[in-house]
Parts: sequence; structure tokens; C-alpha cells
Amino acid sequence: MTTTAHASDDLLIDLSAGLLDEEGRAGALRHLRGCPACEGRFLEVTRQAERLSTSPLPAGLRPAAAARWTRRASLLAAAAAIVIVTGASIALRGPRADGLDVRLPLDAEMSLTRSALAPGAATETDAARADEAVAAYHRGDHTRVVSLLGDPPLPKRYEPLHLLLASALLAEGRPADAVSVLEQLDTLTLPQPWRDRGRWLLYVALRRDGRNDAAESILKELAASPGEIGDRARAAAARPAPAGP
Amino acid sequence: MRSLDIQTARRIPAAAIEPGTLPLADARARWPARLRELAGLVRRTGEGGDEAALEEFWRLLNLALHGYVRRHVRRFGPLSADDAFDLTADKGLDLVARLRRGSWDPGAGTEEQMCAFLSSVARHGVIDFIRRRRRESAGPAREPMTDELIPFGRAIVADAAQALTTEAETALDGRRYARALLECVQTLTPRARLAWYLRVFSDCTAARIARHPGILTSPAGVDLILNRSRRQLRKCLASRGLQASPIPPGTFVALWERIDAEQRRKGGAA
Repeated sequence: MTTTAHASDDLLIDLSAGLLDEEGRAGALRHLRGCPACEGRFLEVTRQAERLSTSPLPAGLRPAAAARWTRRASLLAAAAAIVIVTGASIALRGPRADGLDVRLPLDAEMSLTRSALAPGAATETDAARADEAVAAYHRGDHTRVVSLLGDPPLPKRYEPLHLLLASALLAEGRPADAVSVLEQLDTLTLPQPWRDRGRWLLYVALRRDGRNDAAESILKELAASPGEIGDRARAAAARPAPAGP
Repeated sequence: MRSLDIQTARRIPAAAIEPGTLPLADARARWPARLRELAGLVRRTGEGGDEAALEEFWRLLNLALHGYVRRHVRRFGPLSADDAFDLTADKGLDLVARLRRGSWDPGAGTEEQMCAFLSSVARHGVIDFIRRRRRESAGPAREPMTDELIPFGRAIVADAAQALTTEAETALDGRRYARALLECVQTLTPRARLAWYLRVFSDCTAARIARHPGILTSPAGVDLILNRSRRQLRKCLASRGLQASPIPPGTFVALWERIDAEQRRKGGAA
């Protein structure tokens, strides 16, 4: 291996994105330490990477809920047709088959989580657990969120983390467990915006657990609310009513 | 003392930074293969596919496009850092839409063909952007001056240095200063260190830093962390008989390595 030339942009991207093995990473870093010009370009690459990681995903990146629903409806219709034709009994009710979004925004919520976990309000272990859980939720690692927050149970005062746990349980296809977490939390007593978020999760959990009457009454209440959760509820209310359990 | 200088990067021969010329270890780029792998997962995102894959795909696609944009800017430039970021995001969004429609398949053809395609997308983006800006500008079009070929990036270094600098410290031994700075930075908590790094080297605003998964606080909270960190660093440097000075070469890489390792440990533990 020689280090006489400059590092390529490709190598800098690989290094920044964590795609190099240990040997490659060490070699690249060794080169950068002795090459101010390469270090300068690496600074540009990492700056772009950090800028991306601190920006929300553009609105157009995720398919619109409506479009998602349309596509899902088409798929479900096609699947239903296959069921009719073959006469087979296929369960269509999966954790994401209803198109309901159970992901929670993290920005404001997590700053409040931090304050709830301020020194004196929590042990170091709880704080570390919360940190890890938030990072795992951000990555979409729901299994890890459940394992971190589900056992041992969190003290009741860490309300935002209960919501993350419920959201993760729903994403994992465990609506009954999510209902249990949310009922213990007493969502109606939460301050906003957590109240609406908690009520939305409870609606989804009840609906996925087949408790449609209880779910519908929450949906009606949420559909009258302003904001993002209200939008989600109105979109859900406009869809065809779910089949019974 | 020679400070970290993006200007130096402009003197690199073009051939030296083209793919395949790096003599370090395995010269084959890894990101194209990863991008192709993620593309298959992203295509399914609309049907409840992998959100984490979408985020990683978006980051990698943007890094690749941004790299090509920077190369083409050297030829067609100049472009501000914000314009380059927006142009890259714009092209990235278009490519994701094409991926979902099935009109772009990174998996078809070779990796080299995919890279050539991305380079071409970036080149057209840069040319269109510059043409549009010339049309919109009141004055006559002018040729970019040599010094403007890569104007974005210079500010990074200026800001990075400015964040710590009160006056130029030219006589100081760079290695000694770098070592002391790294030791002082190590006295910060991991969270404060990350916030300081994002501010000084990545030029992130308090609002952006507040959103970072390793920080997650309010912008006001970030300001508090940064003020405390700066005070602590100045005090630490002063205790070693040093004062704030331009950041010497090698410091950024050493700091990045440390922070990246911390972030990876955190991610691995989670």
C-alpha cells in the first residue's frame, strides 16, 4: 500500500458512510492525517453528511399517505380477488396493512424527554436507557426500543418514552401490548402534543386489536383536532370502515 | 503554523481524485454497491418497506451526487455551499421518484454505469443551475475567476478557525497545539463534544444540532452546551499555556475519528 497520491472522493464517501472495514478505515485515516489537502476535502464530505443527518427527510421523499393508501387499496383489492378465485383463506390483517402511520416525531418531544430525565429526576441507567431508546427509534430499530423500554417497566413519569414504546410495539405487530401500555398511561391526562399522539396510537392499537367500537370513538374525537394528528385522523376516517375482528 | 486549508485541495490534479486512482488498500469504491443494495429496499418503501433503508439510501445518494457536483463545479462553477446542497437534494429527490416509478434502476448495468449516470445527472444539474442564474442576474454573464472555482468549502475552514481564534498564532508548533486541543476536547462530555464538533467543523446551526440523534435537545439547549464547551476549552488551553488559534492539519481527522467511534459504539450498543 502506498500513500503517495491523494484520497479519492469515493474513499472519502466510503469512510464517512462507515462502509470501510477496519483495515481500510485505519489506512484511510492514516493517510488523511498526513495529507492536509485530503483532510480538507474530507471535511467537506463530512460536512455534507452531517448536514443531511441533521435535516429532516424532504417531504417528497416518502410517498404521500393518500398515494400509499391508494396503492395499498389496489394491492388489497388484487389480493382479495385472488382469495375469491382460489377460495383460499388468507389473513390480510397485518401490522401495516391498514396504512396507519404510527411513527412519532422526535424533535420537540425528545427535548422534553431530556428534561424529564434531568439529573435528580432519573438514574444514570435510566438516562442511558432513554438515550439508547431514542437513538434506536430514530433508526427504526423497533425491536431494540421494545427491549430497552419494555423491561424493566419505565416509571410512569417518563411519558414520552411510553409513547415511543407503544409506537414501537405497534410497528412490531403487538397491538394488544400497545393498548396495555397506553391504558396505563391514561392518555387523556397527557399535555399536548402528547395527548393527541397518545390518543392516535391508542386508536391504531385498538383498531388493530379488533376493538373497532372503542377505536372509532377515539377517531371521531381526533378528527376534530387541528394539526398533524388531526390530519392523520381525518384521512383514516375517510377510508372504508375496517372489517370486524 | 499551517492551518487546515481547502485552497490546498484545489491544487490537486484532477486525475488524482478520479475513482480508481487511489493507491490506499482496496481502491474499489464501496458506496455504489451499497447504493444498489439499498435501492431494492427503497423501491418497496411505498408498500411499508424499510424506512431505515430509505434514510441511508438518501444520505448515500446525496453524498455521491454532492461529490460529483463538486467535481463539475471545478469546471463550470462557482456555486455556494447552500446552492450545492439544494441542487444535490433536488436531483436526489428526482432520482428517488424515478426509482419508484421504475424509470431508473441502479441495479441494471454495472456499478461504473450507475456512477457515470449519477455524474451526468450532477453535471446537467450544475450546468442548468448556472445557466438559470445567469439568465436571472441583471448584469452580463461573467467567467468565474480562478479563485472562485471552489468557493464553497473555504467558509468551512474560515468558520472552523474563527470559532476558536482570537488572533492568528503563526509561531506555535502545530502538533503541540493539536495534541493539546484534542486533550481539551476530550474533557467535554460526549454529547458536548459532538455539539461542538458539529458547530465548528460542520457549520451546523443550533437548530440543526438540536435535531441530531446524538443531541436531541432544544436550540436554546444547544447554545448553552456550546457556550459552556467554549469556555471550558479556552480555560483548558490556557492552563497549558496556549490560546485559541487556527486549527492545525490533522486535528479534524483525529477528532472525527474519535467522535465517529463514539457514535458507532452508541449505535452498536443500541
